[in-house]
Amino acid sequence: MILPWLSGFLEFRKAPVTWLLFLFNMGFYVFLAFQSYSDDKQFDRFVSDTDFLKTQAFVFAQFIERRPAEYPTLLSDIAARAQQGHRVAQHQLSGLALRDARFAEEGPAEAYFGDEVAIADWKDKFESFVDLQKRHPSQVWGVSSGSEVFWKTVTYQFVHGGYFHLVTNMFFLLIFGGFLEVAIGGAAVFFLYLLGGVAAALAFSELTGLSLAPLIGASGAINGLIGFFAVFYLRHRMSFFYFLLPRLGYYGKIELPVWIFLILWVLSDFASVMASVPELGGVAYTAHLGGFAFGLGVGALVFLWRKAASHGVFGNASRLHKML
Amino acid sequence: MPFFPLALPFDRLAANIADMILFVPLVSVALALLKKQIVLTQLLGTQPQLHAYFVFYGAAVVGLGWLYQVFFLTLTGTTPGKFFFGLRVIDVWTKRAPDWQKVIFRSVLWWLDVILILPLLALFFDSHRRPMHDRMADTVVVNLRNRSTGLPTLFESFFSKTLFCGMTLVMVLWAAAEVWGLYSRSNRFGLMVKSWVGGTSLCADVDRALRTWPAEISSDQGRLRVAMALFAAGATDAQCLDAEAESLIWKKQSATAEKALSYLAKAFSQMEGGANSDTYLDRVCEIDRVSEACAVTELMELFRKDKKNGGPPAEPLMKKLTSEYGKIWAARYFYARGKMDALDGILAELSLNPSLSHFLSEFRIKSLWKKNEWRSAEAAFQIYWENGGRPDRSENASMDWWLCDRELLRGCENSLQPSCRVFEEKFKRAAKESFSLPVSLTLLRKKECEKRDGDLVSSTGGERFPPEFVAYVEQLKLPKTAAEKNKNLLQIVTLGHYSESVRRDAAYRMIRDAQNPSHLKELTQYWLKQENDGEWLGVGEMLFDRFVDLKDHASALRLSERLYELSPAEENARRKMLAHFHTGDKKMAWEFAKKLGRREKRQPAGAASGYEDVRRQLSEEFGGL
Repeated sequence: MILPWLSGFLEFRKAPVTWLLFLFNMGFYVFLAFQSYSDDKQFDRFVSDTDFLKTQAFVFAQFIERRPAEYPTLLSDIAARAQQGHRVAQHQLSGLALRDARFAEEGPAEAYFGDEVAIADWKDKFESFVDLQKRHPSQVWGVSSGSEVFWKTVTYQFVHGGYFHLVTNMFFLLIFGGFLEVAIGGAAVFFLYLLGGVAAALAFSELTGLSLAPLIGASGAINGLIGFFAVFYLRHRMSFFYFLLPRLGYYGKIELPVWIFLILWVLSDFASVMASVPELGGVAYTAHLGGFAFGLGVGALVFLWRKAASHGVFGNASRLHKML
Repeated sequence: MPFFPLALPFDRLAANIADMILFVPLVSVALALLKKQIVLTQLLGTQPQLHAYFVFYGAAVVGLGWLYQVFFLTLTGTTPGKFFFGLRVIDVWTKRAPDWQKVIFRSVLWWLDVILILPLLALFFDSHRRPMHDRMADTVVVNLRNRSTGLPTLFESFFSKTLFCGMTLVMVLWAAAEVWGLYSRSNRFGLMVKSWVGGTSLCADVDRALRTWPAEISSDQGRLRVAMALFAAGATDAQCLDAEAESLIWKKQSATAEKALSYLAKAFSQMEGGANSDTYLDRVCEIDRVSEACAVTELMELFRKDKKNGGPPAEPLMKKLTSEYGKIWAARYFYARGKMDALDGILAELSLNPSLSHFLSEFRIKSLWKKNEWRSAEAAFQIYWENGGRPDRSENASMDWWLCDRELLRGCENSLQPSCRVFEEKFKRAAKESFSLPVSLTLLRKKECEKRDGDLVSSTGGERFPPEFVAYVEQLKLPKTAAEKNKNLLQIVTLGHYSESVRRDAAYRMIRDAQNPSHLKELTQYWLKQENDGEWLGVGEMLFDRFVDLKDHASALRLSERLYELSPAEENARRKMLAHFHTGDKKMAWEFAKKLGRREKRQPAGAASGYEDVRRQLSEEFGGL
């Protein structure tokens, strides 16, 4: 394990905005967790109901078959395999059905051939599932194809899928947000964070495409901060905390050039985007890259502006050195 | 002796972990497209193609890892991870970085050591800490920063040699056990992936049966008939039947008879684990009134009629039951109605089918027993027992015990059945025969059902009972008060060293004798924490019924939730309905009432009371069913 370490956030009086963002994210997560507790339990019941999912696969396969022009060839092929009884294809298709806005809208109204008892059961459950999905906080606040309001590109940044998702994002927010706030000020960090998140959402919707599965999390916004950080500190050395073995000498702090960290950081997301099949959906790696690109872009503009005006936005070199 | 101190094993391990932090992102990018292709092949390709891709992926990772090592070791004599910890790979002869030929050779052998793992133990006992890849390539890994020599100590050497031998033995035994387990699992389980092209996951039991089936079967409907016959005969499980039914029920165009058959199959497959069994049954005759499947549902309806009066005659239906599964149901019907001659006729018709031999043997025994041909029944039983008819792994079980045990499970009133009388007499007469644990528990249960006084162990012959049973009976005698008895039984249930059958018996006694819900709280908590299947599920059901009788509806609700989670069958849906109703959640009770069919299959003994009233009340409040 190896984690970056910048100490800006420890001087919390100098990084109040970062801490406020951190506390707001934590608080909002707890609030939503309480609000959606019983809905989450119901949701789990749906996704572990194999009869429901199996029937859904057959139904969605017929739905796709009737609309060859509206679905990509890959999905039509998967649908055909699912109808032949191919278990992997059925499993995949049943998950995709839950993300498809068109199917959620038109699916239950159509007639299907096959196991009529299972289909009737499925229709009841599917309608309940769609209602559940509509009122779930991730749908209410997240970015999805279910609604197209722009303000959700801001609110989605404060919704997280689980405590692990939250903790990892907050860790990086404190590390990079705290450092940047000491360097460029709270207002700049705040807008960089929000606008980075908006850019990430737009990149995701363009490159991956929206579905009913909502985009949530602060990763895009945090990648914006990291992108901005990369422009100004590429050749500097950064502290990393590493832990390889629980023995003396195999854990501690080292300093590595920032560019190594950034290459590894971007490579993982890049590899995941290359390995993903767009029609099948998945984790929002393009949102990470979009936020990062936004941060890089803003950082580059600031850098060029600084150079042109010969004024430092990042003024106090000795204070910065201490932070690194 | 090397010029520099040797690298310690932990240094080398840490260096490899550090190398992985760099290597993994690089290889993820390099193999991203291949990974994508694997996902697509899983969905659209064939199994051989998928295997080929996996092998290629593995080979690519090994190849890239090899390239990584060769690149860095040739250029610098170290890798980034090793560099971080001050390690260097040097040639033992030249004391410098090895040349490219040795690096190539060493890197190949490094992978072999990593895959086999055991050769790496040489790090602890070799005098220069050189595993196979170092020894064969004439290299050694040294640590430029180490102050000590880094040589292995005596303890390290001795410990690792012992560990090496032990691990080799364990791995050989483990591999043998895995292979055996895989073989027996593939024999026992019903499902297998037939092929990915044409891609239906069908049932291995049916494939096996088709090889020896008397008639030629080629259609999907024929397969489903075979699956139904196997299921009716107890030769396959609901999962297998469900898979076969699925392959037919989703066909675009199917004849009404096919459709009716697949609905009947779904009904059977859902009987123990699903909630829609009755709904499927209702549809069968709606789809095809004249089919054999409809005749079977009508026969099942006859089963439910008053057994004492015999019900309306079933002969008109029998003419429609022409395939094996229909005949098996007819056989069950004739046995239940005591029509042994008709049963014998059916058994004779089915006798040519080797896949149904187990079922045929069982019913032959029962038929002979009912006709009082005891010697023939005993002989048939011995053959049946020797050919795998052991439900309980008992060594000396007899047909009488087996029949009596089943009668007592249905209730104490059956303790006077002829099978139980014969069972007890036989065991008393058999002079030195020892009893197995299940047989002993059956004898004890019989004695208690008949409310007889006296000590079972001493009156029948103490040495003939297994020590565990004797200890159990002694334990049962000890406590004087009800509270002590309860505590004692709870201890037996939770103690791991008692057998399953004894622990279950203790649980049943606790439930039977409890006069207060608090007597069952700890047992309930214990039960909720277990992986409850098979017979232990029955304990949960008894607990629920007892809580309802004792009017502890909150505990009953907790149990009903867990029971439903384990088995969402109709009985448990009924339990949920009752529990929610009695705790005031009528809306939820109504949801479950809607799931329940109109017909009753089995009513749980205690909870049946008030069930119809509850249903009626809910129906009046929320609308008709």
